[in-house]
Amino acid sequence: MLPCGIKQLTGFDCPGCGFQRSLLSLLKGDFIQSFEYYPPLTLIIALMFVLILHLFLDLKYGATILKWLFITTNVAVLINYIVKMLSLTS
Amino acid sequence: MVYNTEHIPLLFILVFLVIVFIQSGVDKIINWKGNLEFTLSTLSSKIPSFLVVFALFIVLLLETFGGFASIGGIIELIFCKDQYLWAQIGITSCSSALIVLLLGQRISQNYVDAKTIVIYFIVALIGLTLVF
Repeated sequence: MLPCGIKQLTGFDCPGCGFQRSLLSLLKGDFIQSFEYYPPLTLIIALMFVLILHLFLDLKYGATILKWLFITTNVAVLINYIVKMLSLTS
Repeated sequence: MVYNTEHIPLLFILVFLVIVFIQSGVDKIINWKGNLEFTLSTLSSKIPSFLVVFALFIVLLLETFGGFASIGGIIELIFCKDQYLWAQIGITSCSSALIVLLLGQRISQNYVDAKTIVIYFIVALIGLTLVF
């Protein structure tokens, strides 16, 4: 697996840590394990899917859906990071 | 940093795959309409057109994913000791894309162009033997 530069330099997890483990267990077909490693992955995949769909088919409300999906994904990543850091330190 | 020289053949194969497949994938994204028209003109008399679109989309996904996974493989090969995980994923994905392309060329009975895909497939096969 690819090493995380921030974790190697500072010793702390970055907001994206867990993404690669999650993606690999998703490729193996282990959905539950994938969700446990990195919950926002589902939203990120949905975002990519809508993005590709909008790129090729030019959906009517594509831009609005993309905007709100983007905001939701960011909030989910932030919440995931805060919860993870709290559970690691406590 | 002491570099392990036994990985240099694999490194060159990964660089080759990155160049070939990212160029091909980016070209398919930028000029999607032209690519689709060309593929439809050669294949639509043999198989239904929605299958052609689906197959071209699958090839596009496999190519771009394989190309970016190969970039990950290069980084992993340089910075981690004896780890091939992303190289395995990248080369397998690129080989699958080549198999789909070969199938398309064979179905359209374009045997001369089917031969040219084998050139790329040999390189991918050498990579597969090095990685697994």
